Amino acid sequence: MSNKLTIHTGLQTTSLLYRTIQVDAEATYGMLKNEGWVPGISISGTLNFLTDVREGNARLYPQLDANIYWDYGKDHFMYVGSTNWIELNNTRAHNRPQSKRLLTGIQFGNTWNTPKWSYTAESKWLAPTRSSLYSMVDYKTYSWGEEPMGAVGLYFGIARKF
Amino acid sequence: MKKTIALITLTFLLHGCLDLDPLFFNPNTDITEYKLDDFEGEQEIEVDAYKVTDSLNHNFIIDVGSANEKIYAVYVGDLDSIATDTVILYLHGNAGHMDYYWPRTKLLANVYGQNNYGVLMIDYHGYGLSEGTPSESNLYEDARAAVSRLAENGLTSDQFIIYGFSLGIAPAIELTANGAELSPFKIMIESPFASAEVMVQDASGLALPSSLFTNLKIDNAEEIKKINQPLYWIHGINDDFLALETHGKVVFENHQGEYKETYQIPQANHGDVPKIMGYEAYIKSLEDFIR
Repeated sequence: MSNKLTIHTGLQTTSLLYRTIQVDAEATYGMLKNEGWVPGISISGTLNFLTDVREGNARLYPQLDANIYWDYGKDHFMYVGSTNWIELNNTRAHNRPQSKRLLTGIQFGNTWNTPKWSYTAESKWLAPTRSSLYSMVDYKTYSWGEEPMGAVGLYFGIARKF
Repeated sequence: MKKTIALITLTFLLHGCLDLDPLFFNPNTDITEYKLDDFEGEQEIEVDAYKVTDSLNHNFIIDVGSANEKIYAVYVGDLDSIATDTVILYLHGNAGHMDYYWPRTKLLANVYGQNNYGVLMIDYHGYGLSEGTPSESNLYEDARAAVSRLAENGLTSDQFIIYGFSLGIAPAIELTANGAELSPFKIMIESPFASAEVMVQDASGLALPSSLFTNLKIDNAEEIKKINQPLYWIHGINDDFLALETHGKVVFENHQGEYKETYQIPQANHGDVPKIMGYEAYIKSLEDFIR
């Protein structure tokens, strides 16, 4: 849109494989340009919409991210930052209160830009402050003391530029 | 542009080709026969001090559904006196097969003394030697077929008890709530899960509907509202698979019947509740409830 503002839309293909349509619309604003070792800073706001083809249930999650980044080489940049999904629902299953409103994460990744396409590989540690001990899924993650915390994932993205 | 179209086309062609449902079931079919006491594989508890009479262990096959798929069962007790005995239907968890749960069956067969009650255990579709594939509907169908077999042998509802463990809670509650040939006069649940939705929400940290991830519609916390029979609930406080607070407590609190009792066992995890509680205390708690 401008030198500082970029608009993205995305389709999460992994979700689609599991019959869930997950699309997002994101605006990224460059606050500071990278100068040598001084990183650039960007912030972004995203709306994530998920719906399934089984029953048509849907959820909307606003997301706020902040990243610092370094350009390197001809067309790469690497970044480190935090992500925050905001839970809008007041209740969870069986009318129990949804006490936690923020699902945070930290990520680092690398993006390779070509004139028409960009390719991103990212590692994200979701909910690093929440114990995942009582989840029935044995996530690959880091532990603090005895307890596994959150979940670590690898993400790969391909984006077409227009 | 061609690459973009190709990518989008490929994505939609692959749409829905994966399913999380099979992860819910963890059967083992790597056996050629049931060995019961001679089984040397992994078991979460060992109960060597609790015996059952070998001559009263009966393996048999139950035909299920219109396709007559065969599932395997073991009955601990006298087949000829089912009509006059009290019988516990034990519905096991999501791992392994009947040999894995055999020690638990032996404990139930020692309630009020050795071989006092009959105990029937089944391997669901796709578990052990049972034919077919595990699924939610097959769980219910298998348990119904087991109840029918007991009814054919003359058992009546006033002598019939259901005990469900973990995955086995789903058929235990479904049968009791929605009816089968027999209706148990008491129901016992160990380490229950509330619903597929709670599993998804515990795993994601978000209030997501389960249908975003799975076809499973299991909702024990809702179904148990239809049950008035006395309820026994036992759960490990340290259960890191199905948390006591988000799963067990919801099921227990939603039970609308007049009588219910609970045992929440410190230090116990998902599969070791009888062991951590102590076998004697565990059996005593069952006796107190059934009495």
